[in-house]
Amino acid sequence: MGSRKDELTVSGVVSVKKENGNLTSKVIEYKTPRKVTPKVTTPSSFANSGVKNVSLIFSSKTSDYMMSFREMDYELSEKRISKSGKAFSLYFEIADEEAITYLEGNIVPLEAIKGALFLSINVSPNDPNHVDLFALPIIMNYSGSFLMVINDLSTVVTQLNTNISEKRKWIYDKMKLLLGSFPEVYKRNIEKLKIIDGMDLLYKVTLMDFNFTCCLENALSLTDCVLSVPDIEDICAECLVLPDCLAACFDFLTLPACLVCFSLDVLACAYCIYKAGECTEDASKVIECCS
Amino acid sequence: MRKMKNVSIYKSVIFYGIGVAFLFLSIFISDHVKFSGNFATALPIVLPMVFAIVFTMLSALFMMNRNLPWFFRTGFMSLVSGLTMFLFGFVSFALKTESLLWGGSLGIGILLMLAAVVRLLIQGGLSAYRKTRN
Repeated sequence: MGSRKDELTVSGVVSVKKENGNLTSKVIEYKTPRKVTPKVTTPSSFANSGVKNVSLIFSSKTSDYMMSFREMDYELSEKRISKSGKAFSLYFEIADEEAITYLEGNIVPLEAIKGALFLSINVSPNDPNHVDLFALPIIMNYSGSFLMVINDLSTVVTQLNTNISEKRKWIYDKMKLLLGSFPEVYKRNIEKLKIIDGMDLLYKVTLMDFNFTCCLENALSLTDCVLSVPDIEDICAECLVLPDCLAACFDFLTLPACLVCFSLDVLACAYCIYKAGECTEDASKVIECCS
Repeated sequence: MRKMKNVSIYKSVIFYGIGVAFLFLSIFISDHVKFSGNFATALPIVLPMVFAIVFTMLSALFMMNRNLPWFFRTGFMSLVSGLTMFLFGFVSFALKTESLLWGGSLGIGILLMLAAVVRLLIQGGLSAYRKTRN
């Protein structure tokens, strides 16, 4: 179900912001497109992902669509991080004579009311001329309800639909069809889906197909890290003037300046080290999970 | 005068020793403190590293005469702590510590060494030092 073995090209990332109800999406193109080979799900990789028990909450299948929600118990125990709880997964599929388009997602509650949602949208065209193997991470930099994000995604895909190849345009149109069909199906079944309704989620979304539990999650964290580089540069530059502050501490006249400068620089250095360590961790995990 | 120089060397060695001790303290803390991926929980691990930078910089400062040019002094301080952090990055990687430790120290080590190059070569710290020697 949606596990792709082929190499995908990642040529950029889309960052979405929302201010006063207006969506703005910015495409950040990589200088050199990257190749990603999604990890194929095997029984052992599934067992190692930390998922312990999966049960079906709800399933609906008609001639137009297929949708199912599952609940799973997970237990993640990394070297220093251990988390456990319940996660919810979604599968939504529509098919026409041209292609099968499907959406998969996992919602992992991080705290009582917050969570992280990982989505993948996949298009399988019948016509090989329409095949375009690409991955496009989309980061939603705001919180919102599950349905709202699906609606927003549709707008984002519409905004992306300019200056692109015919092949890509065809795929985006299929994605819009899927996203446009989802709200109605969701509303029809809302009574049965109350378990995830109203959860305030921090959304990190991607289009196309990955093994999202490891590769995707870390790829997105790394993208977050890379996107925050201008902020990090400012903070690290603040840290690099630490020698000036320290040298100033040995002169009575410059002592007050030294104290202010020193206290600010200590925090700047701490944040700079933290960010460098965080990005290194994400990068090493991406190499580990996605290769 | 010679006695003064010896006192400076003692101070310098002691401060460098304290700096290195802070680095190993951060390894010790990282083994015992759960780090849940946010800045606040990383502070107990990161702050000893920052104090290690401060102490290695002070150690370099004690080695130098106060009459030496400013850019030479600050550049040398950056170089000493940059090299220390860079080497500690490899040591902590070999000790299989958190990537927060080895990635962070390698990152800050490289930055400090770059800052040292800027101060000593581009801003003229080294040539100013040569002038004071002549």
